[in-house]
Amino acid sequence: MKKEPNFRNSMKISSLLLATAFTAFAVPANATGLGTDGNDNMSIQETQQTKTVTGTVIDAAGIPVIGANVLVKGTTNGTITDIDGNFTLEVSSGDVLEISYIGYVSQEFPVGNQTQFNVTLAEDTQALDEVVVVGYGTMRKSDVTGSISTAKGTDLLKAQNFSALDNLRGKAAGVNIFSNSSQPGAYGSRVVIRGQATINASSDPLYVVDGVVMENFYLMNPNDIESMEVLKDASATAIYGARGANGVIMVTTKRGNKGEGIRVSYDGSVSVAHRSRKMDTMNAQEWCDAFMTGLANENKWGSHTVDGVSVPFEWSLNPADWFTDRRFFDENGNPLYDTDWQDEAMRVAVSHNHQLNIQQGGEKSSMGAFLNFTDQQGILRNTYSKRLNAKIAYDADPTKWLSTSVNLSVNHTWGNSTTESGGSQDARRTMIEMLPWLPVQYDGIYTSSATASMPMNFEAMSNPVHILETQKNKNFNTKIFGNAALTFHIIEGLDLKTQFGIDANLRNNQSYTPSDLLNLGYDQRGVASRYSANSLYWQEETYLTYNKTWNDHRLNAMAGLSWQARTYDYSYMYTKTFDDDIFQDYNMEAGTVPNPPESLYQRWAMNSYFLRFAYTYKDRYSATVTARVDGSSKFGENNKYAFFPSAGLAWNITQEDFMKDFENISNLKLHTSYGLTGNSEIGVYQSLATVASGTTLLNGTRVSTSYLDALANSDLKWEKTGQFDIGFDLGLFNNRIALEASYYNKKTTDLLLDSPVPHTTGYTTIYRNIGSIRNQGVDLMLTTRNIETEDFSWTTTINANFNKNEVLSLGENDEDILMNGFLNGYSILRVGESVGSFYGFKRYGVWTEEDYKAGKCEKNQIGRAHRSEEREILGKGTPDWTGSMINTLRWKNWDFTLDLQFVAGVQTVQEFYHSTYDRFGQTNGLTDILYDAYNGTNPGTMQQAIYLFNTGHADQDTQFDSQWVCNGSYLRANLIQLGYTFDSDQLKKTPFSSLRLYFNVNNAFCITAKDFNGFDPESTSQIDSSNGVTSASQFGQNMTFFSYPRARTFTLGVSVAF
Amino acid sequence: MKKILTCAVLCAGLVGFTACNDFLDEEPRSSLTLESYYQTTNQIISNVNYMYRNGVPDMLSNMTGAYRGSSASVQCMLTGYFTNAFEGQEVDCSYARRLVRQDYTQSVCNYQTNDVWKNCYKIINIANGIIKHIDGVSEMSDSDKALYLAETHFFRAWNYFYLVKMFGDVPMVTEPTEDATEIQYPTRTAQSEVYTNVIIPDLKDAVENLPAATFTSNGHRVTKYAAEMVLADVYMMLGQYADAAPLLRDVIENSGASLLTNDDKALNSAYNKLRTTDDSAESIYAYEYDGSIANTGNLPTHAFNGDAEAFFKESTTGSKYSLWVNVFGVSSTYLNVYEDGDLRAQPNQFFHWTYEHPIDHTTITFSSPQNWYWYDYDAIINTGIGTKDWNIYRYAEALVSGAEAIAQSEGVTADAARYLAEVKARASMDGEDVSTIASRLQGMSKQAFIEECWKERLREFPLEMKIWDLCLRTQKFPSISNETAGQVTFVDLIGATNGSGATFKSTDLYWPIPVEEIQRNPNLTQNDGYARQ
Repeated sequence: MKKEPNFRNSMKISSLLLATAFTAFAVPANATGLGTDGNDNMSIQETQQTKTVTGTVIDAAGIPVIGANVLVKGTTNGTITDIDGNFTLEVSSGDVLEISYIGYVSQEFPVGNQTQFNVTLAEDTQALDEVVVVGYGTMRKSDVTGSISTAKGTDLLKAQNFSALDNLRGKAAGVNIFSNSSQPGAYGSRVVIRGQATINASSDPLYVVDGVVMENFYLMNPNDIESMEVLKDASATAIYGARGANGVIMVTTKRGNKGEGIRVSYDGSVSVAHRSRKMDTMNAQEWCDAFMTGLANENKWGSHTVDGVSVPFEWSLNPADWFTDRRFFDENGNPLYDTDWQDEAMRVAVSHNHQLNIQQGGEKSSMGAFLNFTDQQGILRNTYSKRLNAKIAYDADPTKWLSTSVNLSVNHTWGNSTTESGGSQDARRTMIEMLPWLPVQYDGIYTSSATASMPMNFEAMSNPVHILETQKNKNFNTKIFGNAALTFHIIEGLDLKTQFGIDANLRNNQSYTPSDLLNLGYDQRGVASRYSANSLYWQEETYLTYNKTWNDHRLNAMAGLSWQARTYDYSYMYTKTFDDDIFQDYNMEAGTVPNPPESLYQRWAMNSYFLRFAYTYKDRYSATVTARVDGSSKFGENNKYAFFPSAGLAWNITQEDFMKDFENISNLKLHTSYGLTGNSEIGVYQSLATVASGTTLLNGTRVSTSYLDALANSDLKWEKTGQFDIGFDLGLFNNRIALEASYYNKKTTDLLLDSPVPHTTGYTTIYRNIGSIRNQGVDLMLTTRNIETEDFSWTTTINANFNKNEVLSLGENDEDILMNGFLNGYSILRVGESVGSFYGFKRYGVWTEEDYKAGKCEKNQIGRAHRSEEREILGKGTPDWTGSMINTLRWKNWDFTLDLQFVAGVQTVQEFYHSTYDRFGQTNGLTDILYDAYNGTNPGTMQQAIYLFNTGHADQDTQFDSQWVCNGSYLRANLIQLGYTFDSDQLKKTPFSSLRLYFNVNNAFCITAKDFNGFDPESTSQIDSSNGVTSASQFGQNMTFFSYPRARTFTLGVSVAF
Repeated sequence: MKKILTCAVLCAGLVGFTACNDFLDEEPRSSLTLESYYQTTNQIISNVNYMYRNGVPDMLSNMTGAYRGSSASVQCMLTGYFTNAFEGQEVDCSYARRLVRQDYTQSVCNYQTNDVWKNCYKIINIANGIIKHIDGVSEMSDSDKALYLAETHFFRAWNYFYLVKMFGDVPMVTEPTEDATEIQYPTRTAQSEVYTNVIIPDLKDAVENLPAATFTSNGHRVTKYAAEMVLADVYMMLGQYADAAPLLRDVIENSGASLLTNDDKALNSAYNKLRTTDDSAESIYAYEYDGSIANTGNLPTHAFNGDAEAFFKESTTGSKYSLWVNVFGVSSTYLNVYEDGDLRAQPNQFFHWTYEHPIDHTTITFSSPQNWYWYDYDAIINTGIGTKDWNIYRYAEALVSGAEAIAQSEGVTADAARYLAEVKARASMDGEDVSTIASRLQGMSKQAFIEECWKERLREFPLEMKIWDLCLRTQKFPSISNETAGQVTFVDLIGATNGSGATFKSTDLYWPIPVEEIQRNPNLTQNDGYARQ
């Protein structure tokens, strides 16, 4: 135990220091005070025979618990577990062993005749003295007045996803993680905490890793994470002021050991993934049948305009007249090949992950080295992502007044991906649209839509195997992330910490599209591009903390200042038209038609001052006040600085005397808060009237062009979110049932809106602080320990979020803002509606022969869509309900996890209907066409009659309408895991101190609406590419043209320590 | 203890207070700002350069899309004589052709008018900025100021002209918007005022101060003669033929431009030269394309319809394009504007019906006329890169317009007859010379002569998007015979049946004001017949 310095004289000084105070952590029950010398405290009263017992303490994940207290109940006789979770203790057979550890439920065992105890400690989510990470420090969970969700690293790692964000999905109430892509490493998941509260500023939360803000968090190695805390309400987030409005995800990474000794552990897994779902496209014969039906329909109802005059079609209905290429069809027009392009484009993907941790602990220092290699294959051919990651953490207390801490990680990820955005003939599209009667190769050459010669034309496309195998799109990311901190222990309870952190990201992309890929690189005769985007972020933060407990009072105060800045540098080159495909992007000077090179430099900076004051009386009444002043370079000169205060109250009712009668209520706490947070995450230079400069063609040469491209706005300022939060934590029956619930109401005003202005100004939009959005909802987390015996336990955790989003006002005239336009449909921002609403025509049905006879439509409209004339709101891509139910069972050495995730109250737009229904003939389509399409006898159908889209034919009407929109709710078996943990007896003859094996199925099934025909309702083709990082656009959620198929993954893993 | 404290405070102070005062200042390195703009001659010139390829020049000339042609091409579909093969997808083309735009205001705005409105006013604001700031550029010579101000006036007027033709009354903005505090919500100004206060004075300044040079010798920048062509169009639109005539005479007599001639009546005809040759003697103003900076995109593919895909696929040498869409399909009826013996109606002049692959010598025959005028051999067979400039104004138009303006204001004079005869003579298969034709023309009544000028415009510029302007100006519709070559009657536009059997209503003259713009600026009224939302 640290010797207490004499600080009587220092009291005066401390009171001067910014009223900084800090609650000393109530030394937890596991107090190191028991220390390693516990063994010496032999029980004095030996009424029974003493004997030596041994045991191992592990947690639910099979990881040894180091430093757990093992105590003979009612005595001071005890010890703590060593690095492998083992303990040895002299006891009497009549004693009761009490085993406890901070954050876990204590357990008692009568000694009896037993000499070996294998104990698995269950986590105690309600522990009074559990500590949570908050901004600039930690607090006792019981004193926290805000809403914070915590996820432990071991839980996060269960799913073995490539990205920490995918692991977090469903683990924290109120945190929506849209995992839109199954393509490893290519696109970051979108994270929205408690609803989207902004329009043009970023909706991403702030990621703070070991106190340092991190960008591109999705690339971080999840194996390095010890725990994640999600700060949700203003009391928790306002300390991050202008960057806190979207919530803050605090990440604590692994470090050296707390106890003595060296611990080496290894986690490894091998996964096999395949598609979890297929789209039901037509086979070769069905395609031919549908084509012939289209011809018959055209003859029956259709007409085409020749010289402005309507003329009926008179097509031959003999297949042999149409399917004339004898390489692919027989004499009667029957197809010779039948290719399932999805099967051809997809594969069984094999991935593996290796993490080696070497952790050392000592009296004055500890150190950890962490190495990771991950190779993850995607289920589309030739898509993969690999990661090499090394991290070192070193902590030391060189003197009694100084602690130091250093953390450095280098993360390199690289991989190849295929495009998931836009509407061009990429692999994910042609694997659905490609003609099924073509083989993958003919005469050793990849087939394309141009291969067959028949009296019809097709959408120009290359087959997906050809694209995947030959198109290149490689990303290389290197992230150097780290910090160094000095903490001065000035007097007892008063610390000064200064920390410097960096986040450097070097991102390179290399891509090449060969000249034989139709509609991709064919017309350009090869397209090569490269870009390089480098960012360097640094921050320096210095703050004082003061912790003091006296009598019934506990004080935790903190004050500090911060500087941060980020520079960004980008360059891009593009060239096309090569004589051959050999060079790819490795010799760009061989391309004969280069674009001008591009480059960009940006910088922003912030300067901040912050303060927190937390006070608890009698462990019952807690109050927290925070304040932050932020200055940002991004804002107008009239509004550089802004102030973000918050206040929170909590009442631990269980601590009241009158609660002693309610034994069943083990925990009851109320908390509420209100505060302001800000959002400054817009691009740089938005308050300035900037000039766009470029070049153009004039007089056969390149000349410069320039024009004023943005309106100045010297008043541009922060977006402000006022958030009210009220909630309770309830624990019943010794916390066997634990419920956390909170209601929030967030109103965001002064939206940083890229708001429409009349085009007569010469501009389309200007960044102004106009408009507001409200998010209100409820976060729930219910944990029940249904069964808890020595051999068997069953825990259920349900977390859920209900969120209602409403746009309250927009620009000067509440103008609609339309985005993501696609065939007359959009996502719309409209006052009174949720953000991310869909806007398009309503389909009433199809025009029928009866309608024609009744004079309601023209003949050539028969079988075509009958739509509303004006557009309306058709649904929304942001869900009302999100959540998960996680069941964990343990029986002896076996453990089992079932993690179900659900989303409800959401729609999804199947934009792929455009081509898979409406463009049939030029492409392949969905099998439903054959059965649901209007045929003259089914007037109630919603599905248009088949009209061929090939040139010269009747063409289908294709518009974004309500028929494309379906219920986007789903229930997904996120994770099913079976694990086996060997106990120390079993391991005696092995070099291992602990060993756990497990088997996972990720995404075992996903139940969706019946009329959903895509791969996964949670997906999008609307991608924003800014700063060289691509991610889902803020308002395009669930608007999917074609998506990367979602995988079902089987994983075999091992966790072992030596 | 003191030591520790001192050390800690020093540490904090060191990092805390070394920051500079300008830590939060923004100094973009990748772009200028208003404070540093409008300071140098080069900045003014680069600002003017921007107007050459955005706004009206682009809307007239940009046929580079895969599925649709220029904004001006869609306007011509109102006549019903032209069809976009992809009009099921590019629905505004269909709505325009069938004269049902009023039922689909939102769609029409999405596909067509939003962009026109936005792009024209963007250029107008840029022009207003130059006009406001050019005097303050101290290093710029007065002659340069006059020259670039004239170019600026040219583009401002031209953009306003396009707007009033499409929308009628439009807001008249003559001051630049540069700051959030200057945003205005203007009402629509009567188009007569826009003509009087902006378009005509701007163009007069352009005519006065732009160089009297040929387009090519003037570095492909606008000339006095280009300005005269636009101003003449403006006067003719206003019925002020007497004002238009001298301008056109000046172009015809003094511009240095001339008609290209036929070396033969096949692939070396004048029309094929117009198709293949940049910077020809006939060019008064064109939109440049080249191989490396800005090529013609999909324009070469618009010379065929989708049948070409299978055709090129089968040929062993193939082509450099994969998607063929006739975005401006001319109906056979339209071809009856040509009398028998008109070279322009012959295969491989403006149109073609059968195509022979130049290497394989396989052939394809189309069921409808295809647009030979856009055929680019080198692009299609060799390079995949079209480089042909798009003709905006050529000498033939000066002749046709000149003939009409003179006839309208002075009667059928010898000049008028000769001007028209020159255009006709070039197209004559049997080699009739100018004087023969001129003397025949001179014998016509004034009205017959004027209508002959209109017909000649239809014949000479079928693929240069001049047709709708003629209807709008004359309020007459060319009703072309289905059977008889050369038989065209001009009927009142309102009430006329267009080439697709639809009847012109009074509300068909203008396009809808973008509903998006009305939301942004509720002070705007909508054109009759269209929805406000």
